[in-house]
Amino acid sequence: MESRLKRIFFTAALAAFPLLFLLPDIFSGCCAFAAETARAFGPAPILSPGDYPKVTGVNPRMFIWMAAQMHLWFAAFVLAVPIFVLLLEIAGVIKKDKRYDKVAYEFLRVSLTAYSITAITGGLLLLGLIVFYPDLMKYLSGIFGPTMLLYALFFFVESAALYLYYYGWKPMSAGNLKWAHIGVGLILNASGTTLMFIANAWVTFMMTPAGVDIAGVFDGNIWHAVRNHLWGPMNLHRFIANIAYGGSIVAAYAAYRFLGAKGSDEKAHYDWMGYTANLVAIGALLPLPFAGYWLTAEIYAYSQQMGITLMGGLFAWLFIIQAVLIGALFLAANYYLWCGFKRGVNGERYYKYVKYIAFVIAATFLVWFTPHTLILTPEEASSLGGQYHPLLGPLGLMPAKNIAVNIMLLFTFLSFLLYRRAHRTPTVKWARIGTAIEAALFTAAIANIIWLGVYYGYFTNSVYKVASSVPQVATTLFVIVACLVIEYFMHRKAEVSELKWGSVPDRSQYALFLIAVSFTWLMGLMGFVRSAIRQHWHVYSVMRDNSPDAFTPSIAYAAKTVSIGTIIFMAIIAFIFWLSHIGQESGAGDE
Amino acid sequence: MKNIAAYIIALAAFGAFFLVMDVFLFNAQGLSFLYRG
Amino acid sequence: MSNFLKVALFSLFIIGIYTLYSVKIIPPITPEAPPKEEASAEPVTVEELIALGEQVYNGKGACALCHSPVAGRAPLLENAAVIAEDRMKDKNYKGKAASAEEYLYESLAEPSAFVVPGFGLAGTNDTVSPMPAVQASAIGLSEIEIKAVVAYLQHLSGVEVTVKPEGDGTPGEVKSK
Repeated sequence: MESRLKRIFFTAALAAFPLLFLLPDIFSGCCAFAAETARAFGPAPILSPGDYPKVTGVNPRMFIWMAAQMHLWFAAFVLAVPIFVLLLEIAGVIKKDKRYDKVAYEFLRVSLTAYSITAITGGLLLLGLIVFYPDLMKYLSGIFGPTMLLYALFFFVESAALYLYYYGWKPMSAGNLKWAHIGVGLILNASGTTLMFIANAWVTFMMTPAGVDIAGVFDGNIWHAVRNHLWGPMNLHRFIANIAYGGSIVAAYAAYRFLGAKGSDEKAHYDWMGYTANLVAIGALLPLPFAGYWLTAEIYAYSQQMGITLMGGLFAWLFIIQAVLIGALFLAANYYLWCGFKRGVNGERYYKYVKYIAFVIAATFLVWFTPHTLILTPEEASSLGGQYHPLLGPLGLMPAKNIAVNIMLLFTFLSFLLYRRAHRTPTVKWARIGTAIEAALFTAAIANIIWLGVYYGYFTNSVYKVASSVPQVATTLFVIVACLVIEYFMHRKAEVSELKWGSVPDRSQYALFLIAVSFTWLMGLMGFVRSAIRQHWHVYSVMRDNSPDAFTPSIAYAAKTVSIGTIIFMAIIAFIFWLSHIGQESGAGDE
Repeated sequence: MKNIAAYIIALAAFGAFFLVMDVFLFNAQGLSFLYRG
Repeated sequence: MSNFLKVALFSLFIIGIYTLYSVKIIPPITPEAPPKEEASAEPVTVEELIALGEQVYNGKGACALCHSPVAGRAPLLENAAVIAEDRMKDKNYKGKAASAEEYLYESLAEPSAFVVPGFGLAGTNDTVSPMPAVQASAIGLSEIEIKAVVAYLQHLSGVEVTVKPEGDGTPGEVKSK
């Protein structure tokens, strides 16, 4: 124990040491810059269409859109993978199980090429912005200059850490060096996350500017501009969403390798990898609605108009599309779990519940994507008596959707509980009573969620309607935590049989592909919203966008663009995975 | 039989718990539990 | 069929479904073009003022975004100029307006001067309005545009329009900061 503590301190010190030196310089540098440049900052420039350079044959906005979206997809992947890798490596050391270490190394190798592509797309984005929007960049760098230099510095640190982490894996695999290696992994994650936080400041400033007055004159304090309304929520949302996304891409990789695996050992290995990565992805998916809620709440706090345009106006339909995608994600996640029952020796006894859970998931999905306002011609509208369906109209409102999503979450969790029980048989005497208690918890929770949604949603006012979503979500969370606790105690000294990894049908892997593709497409769509919510502004309410492309595109246009982007991204990812595969096969790798 | 009894008792207990939780969470948002026009 | 092909076709199929849904199934909504920034011709007559007010109400001001029965988050305005009298008599009214016209102007320029009960920001006990001040950049109404909206609201309520097109301030000294 003592020597382990020693290692922990050794590693932490190694990681913290360089940062300790750098931090004071960084902060005083920023403050010095801020103080020194209490020089006059000018207002945001007022541009005309002629101020935007043109390049023949290139649509400026499309160029930036594609570069930015590619960069975000790859960046999410390369930020997420080191998190898993580090946690798996630590798990391997603590449990003294070499399998964790091996799979961590495999994940890391897969992400190396993605790292260069992240940098390439970032460079494309930056160059594109300089070429096509020079005045905007001049204005932003006038405010954020020091942070941009910081970005470059941390990029250097991250690259060094990544290469040391990867190439040092074998040499630094024993004793104290292993802990030093883990320290390097920590630095890799810390610098990568910092990079994201810095870039988040720039993009959130464009949406909810702070530290500038109405004319765009900067007050000189970078912290004001950085800590705008959306910075915190964006940091949290992207951090969690990256984990979910990275997990889904790794799971898709494992799914593909599973399909092509020869021999039951290989199949088992990739089945396990896919399941674990998917568990991370879906697990990280669960808190995302909260992060999204905070994000939207801050948008509303900054500007009611912006908030309403987002949720009630122009982009409302976009969130119906989002609902369709999230519903698909949950359907796929549940399907994957049900297929997984086969891995457990007792799995077959839970098959009979699948149809009921499937029915509930499908029903909640249908509720979730029922729209409120219908697409009607004037004649249809007058014969229907309005824009809403008399019976199904209420299902289009938020209360119904809150009920639906909470129930969807609960039943997905139920699938997960049954999956766990597929290979565990409790031996405690109170097992059946424990199950009865869990069943009662589910019943009470569902009743509470429905009551909260129906009463406060339809019979009170909008303040209560919104407020009722908090206890609804708390109910769902409580059930998840309480059931996990009960299950833990119930299965102490339980008969646990080994899971038969690899014994799932091939079609289960397609659920993982569905999840990866849906996540990618959804990210693209939400990226569009984030940018489009600014409408005809470069920096909302401060610097007007007067380029020829300032118009907000229609959702159809955005959907087509996102689809093209998704296809390109998936093609590159497939290429990267193929590269890492042939590298491994020819013996250049070290499996 | 024991299981059904356990179910019903637990149902009542969790129902009460959720009620208290709802009241607390509404109050925490500056609202009273029961809507009054 | 090779695995790669199967997976690729499956992925393309899924992407195709999402695209189809977004392009064909949901209503085709084309957002409005960005508002032009040139100043509209100064209204000379009361009718022109009302027309400008209506244009701003439905366009740049985006008033119906909140002030509509569907949205339900702001008081309805079809009778605003009439209800204004009652609002000013409310015991909680602490604004400076001396007439219904001034009250309407104040509601636009300083929305938190008086918050209609039930419509305040959550947790502020109806002392802070969620409505942004209309001269602020996000909406950015000019003086004449604010007056035009007041005129339009008076017209909507069916009362006499007392706003004058000329002059730089509203009758009575309710000026925004």
